[in-house]
Parts: sequence; C-alpha cells; structure tokens
Amino acid sequence: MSNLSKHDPYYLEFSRKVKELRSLIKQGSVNDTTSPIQQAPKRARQANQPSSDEVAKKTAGRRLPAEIVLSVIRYLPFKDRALNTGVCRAWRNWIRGCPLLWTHLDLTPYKNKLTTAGAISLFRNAGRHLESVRLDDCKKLTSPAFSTLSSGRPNLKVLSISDIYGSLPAEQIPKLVDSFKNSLTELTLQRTKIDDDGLKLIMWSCLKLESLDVSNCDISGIGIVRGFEKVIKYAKMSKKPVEDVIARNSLKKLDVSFCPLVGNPFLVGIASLCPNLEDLRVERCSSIRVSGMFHLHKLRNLKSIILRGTETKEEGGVSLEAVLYSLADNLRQLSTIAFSHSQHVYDAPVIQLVNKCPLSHVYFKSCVWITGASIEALAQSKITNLVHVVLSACPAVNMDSVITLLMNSRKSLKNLDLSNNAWVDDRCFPVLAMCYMMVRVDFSKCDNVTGVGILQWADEAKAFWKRTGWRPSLSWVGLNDCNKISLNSATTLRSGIGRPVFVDYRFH
Amino acid sequence: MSKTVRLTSSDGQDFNVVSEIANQSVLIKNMLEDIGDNADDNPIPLPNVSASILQKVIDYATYHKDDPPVPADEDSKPKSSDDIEDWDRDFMNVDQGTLFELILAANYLDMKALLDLGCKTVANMIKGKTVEEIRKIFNIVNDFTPEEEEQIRKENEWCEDR
Repeated sequence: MSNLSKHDPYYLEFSRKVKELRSLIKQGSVNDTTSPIQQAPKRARQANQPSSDEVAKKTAGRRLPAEIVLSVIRYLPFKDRALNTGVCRAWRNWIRGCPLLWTHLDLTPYKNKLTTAGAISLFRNAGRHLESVRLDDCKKLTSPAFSTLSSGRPNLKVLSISDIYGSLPAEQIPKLVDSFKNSLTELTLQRTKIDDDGLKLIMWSCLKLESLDVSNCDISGIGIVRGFEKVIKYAKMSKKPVEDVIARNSLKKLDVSFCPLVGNPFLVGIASLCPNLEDLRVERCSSIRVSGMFHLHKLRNLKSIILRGTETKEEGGVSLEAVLYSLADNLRQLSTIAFSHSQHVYDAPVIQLVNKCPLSHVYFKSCVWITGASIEALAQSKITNLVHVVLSACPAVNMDSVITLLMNSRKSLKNLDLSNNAWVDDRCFPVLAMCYMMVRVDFSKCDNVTGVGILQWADEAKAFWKRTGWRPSLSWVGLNDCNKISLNSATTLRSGIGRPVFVDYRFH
Repeated sequence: MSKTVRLTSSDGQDFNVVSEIANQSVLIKNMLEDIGDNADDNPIPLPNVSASILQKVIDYATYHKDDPPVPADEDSKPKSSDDIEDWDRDFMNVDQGTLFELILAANYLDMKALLDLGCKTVANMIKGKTVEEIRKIFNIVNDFTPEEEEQIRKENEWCEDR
C-alpha cells in the first residue's frame, strides 16, 4: 500500500500508524470524517458517522486520506501543526496520533506565547518518541509542563532549557535532567541558575552526554570535574580499570564561556579526564591563567579551542607563546582557534600553529601584535580548507599579506571579517572577485575602502562568473561606518554582482 | 528505440508514453516488470486517474524526466516548503479540485516528487491560516462538541496570532 520509499523509516512508521488508524476507523472507534458535506452539518454531528459512501460520492476528488494530510502537515511549523488539530475529529486523531510529527520540538520561536497547556499537549503527542526539545526562554511555562516532560521519554537525546529560571528552580534542574540520563547526549543550560553541585550530579548520571553548554552561568566548572571523579571512584570500587573509564568519557563539546569563576582547576581537571573533547569554549573566563592553559595539550582530539578574552599574561615562567607552541606540537586535529584582545599573541607561535595544524577557522580580534607575517604564513601553509577568517582591529596586519591569503584560499574561503582596519583598501577587490565561495564579507569601519572599489568588485565578480561559470555565493556585505562609501555604491552592490546581496550599511 | 507504454485512464482514454517517463511512477514500473515483454500488447489500466489528470501527470513526468531520484528523508523536523521551482509553481497553479486530484493521482501512482510538490503546495495554502479558513479550503465540517472546542481552544491558545 505505501507508495513511499520502503527504506525511509519515517514513512514506514508512518504507514504503520496509518494502517492502525484505518483499522480503528473500520471498527468505528475513530471518526473518519475527512470532508463531511457542508450542507448537512447537523446530521454529521448527531449521527457521528456520516455514511462514508455518501461522502465519497459527493466529494470525490476532494477527500484527502490520512497519509496525505499528514504529509502536508509535515511541511508546517509547529504552531500550524498544533492549530490543525482543531480542524475536525479525524484530523485531530491523525495529527496527534502521528508521534513522528512531534519528535523534534524546537519551541524557542514560540517562547513568548507557548503556554503550559500547549506544551503539555505537545509532549503528550510525542510520547515515548520525543528525541529533542528546545524550550529556551519559554517564559510562560510552569512546573506541570516540566513534570509532564520528565516522565516516559526513553529516547530524549537533546534538551535545551536556557534562560529558564523562574519556573524551574536550580535544584530542580539536575532532577529533570536525571530523568533522561540513559539517552541524553546534548544539554544546554545557558543563563540558568545551575550551580557546581548540580553539575556534579548531572555529569555523574548522564554517562552518554556528548555536548554541554553552561555558558553565562555562575559556576566555576569544578562541579563537572567532580562529577567525572565520582564516576572514576565508583569504577575503582567495582574493580574496573580506571584508564578504560577515562578513555570512554563521552564528552566531546564543552562551553563554559562567560563564566567568570571558571579557572585553572577546571582546565587541569578537564584536560586529564576528558580525552575525547573536540570543542572547548572558555571565552572571557576571567579566572583562567596561562599556566592552566598549558594543560590543554593533553587533549589530543581537540579540534576547536576558543580562548577569546582570557588572561594571557606570563606567570610562573609560562607564557602564552609556550602554550601555543605546545598546542601546535600536540594538537594534530586543531582546526579552529580564536583570540581577542589578547595582547600576548605574537607572530612566532601563530606561524607554528598555521604550519602544523589543519586550520579552517581563524579568529583574531584586536590582536595588536599579529602582523602580515602570520597572514603570509597562513597563505603559504599546506592548509587547503580555510573557511572563516577574522582579522578585525588588527592594526599591524597589511593588505598585501591578506591579498596573498585571498589568492591562495579563494576556492574555500566563505567568511571574511576585516572590519575596523585602516590598512584595508581597494586593492583587495580584484582578487576578492575571484573568491566565488565567499558568502559574507565585513568591511565595517574600514575607512580606506571607497565606492569606486566596491563597484569594481561588483563588475569583476560578474565578469568572473561569466568567464568561468562559477556562481558567486555572496549574500552579505558589511559596510557600516565606512566614511568613503556612499549610499549609492551600497545600493549598486545590492544587485551588482548578479545575485541579490544584503548590504548592511549604516552611516553616521 | 525505447519502448512505449499504453496507459488507459478511468474514462477510457489511451495514452502512449515512453517507458522511461512512465517509469517515474513506481506503480507502473512495478507493473511493467511483472508483465515483462507483453507490455506492448497490454495497456495498463489506471482506474483511479481521469484523462485530464493523467495528461497533467505525464506533462510533469516529461519535464522532470532527467531529475535524479528524490532522496528518502528521515528528518522529522519541519521541512521547507519554500523551495518550489518556477515551472513547478506554475504547474500547480490550478483550481483546488484539480490540485487534490493531482495529489491523489501521485499517491496512487507512487510518484514521490510530484506528491511532495503537491503536499508543499497545499502546506503553503494553509500555513498561517485560521482553523475556520482551513475547514473552508477542504470543505470540512466542524464536528467537535462545544466542550471539546473549548478544550482545544485553550490548548492551542499559543498558536493564535494576537
């Protein structure tokens, strides 16, 4: 019967559900009223079961069966899906009875409107099939919503409850998370009132957790370390080899950015206990010191490290340089690095990093000691997949090195931020026109970029497209506060390339 | 020389279609495999598809004959319905009765791409509409009791705009 791909598990479950419903309809326990006739509403209500032959004859061609209605509903956002349960009995049964429409509930777009009753009804629709739920900042939810959520969800893998603190007090968070301990892989608790004790409980119970985001919380992160230590203690007690337990630590992604209390004890603990960590974000963790960062070289699987805004002054004989050299030597998979306002990032260690690591995302903001030498090294390195470069407010870099960089990475570079630099001028445009993968470019506050250059860029990009057949990917350009650019040039750029480009242009 | 297939609509009209195009319908493709080489002699009856709809289906299949097969999708996140090509949008710009007939035909003939297109079109029609408007589109009568309506309204309060 099912016309849809036999290999599509969604449709298989789908067809099974529909068959179930069909047999229920035959038994008369579910009302099959796809399109009862307009002219006989009373009869429909009283009889509760219009003769389906009658209906079929008069509305032939208009009667859409369950699987088609559900296929249509699948294209609708959650708000419309829920709304359609109020159309008629049949639709209500079909839509509510198809749990696969409700397995991934991203309800953050409805944060201002979603009520507790609404949420409870959505959770009920999903039933045991609920796999992912995001309730960030859903202001109207009260505790009954969370208790309904917590029971009977053996498949819940993703939970995001950022910004929820009114209706879910800090003590309740570990309890809620604990209900999903056997399946949870991703947990987001940004800006909640979770504390280190709560984190310890969470890390101890959720042994499959791969991604944890507790940025902007009042924690020192030591709770995470204590949680892992407790797991090890229990392993020792049951005579399991400790190295195996550590090697099996599931955590891959950890974000503790903007937590001012996160410091060295956290870094030291994580470096020893989370060997599988791939992505670590400690942006603006003001209690971290360079000596703690030195331990990061132990995380051999680290692909991404965001150290923006952390303290990098030399202390106890350890300098940021030394740290970066050790990272370059040990982290063979490092692809993302980020520094900002870091006064102590010099060329030499950066050149080591670009020569030894397969970098694809390089973020330097307000790094006053980075010069053209680093950029030249980046351009000449073996790196083939450079995707995102930020060189915002880096006054010691120069245009020539960036031009070389653009030339060598024109087949991969998608995102470029050169904002706030006086050395950026029109010379970059001919080569920029050949960067056909480029999606976003930011020239905000670059006072030496002129309207003439912008127009040249548009013309040459269009010509390049014609010549090579490679479509440009450009969709966003930042030109805020560029003193030498007029509204005219900004407007011309919008369609000048041959495809619509959003130009962010404000002039004070 | 590619084979042609004879298809007969519900109202008795015959259509000769190149088998490569006809095979976009999994139903027809399977039937042809079952019949084997006798396809030329035996027209395939399609009792659920009228001639006018069958013609439209053939037009669609002809335009899309070189398309790669539609991948099966396991995602249960809301799928995008904004990516309808211009030709497809014009093709679907028909009266509602025809639209529904096309969807039913695509369902019967097992043509995923056309079915998806039809469903996307209908989804775009009902997105953002109120329950009453949706009932009108599908010619559906409200068969809830007042108490049920009240319960549903409370549950779905968050869905309403303003």
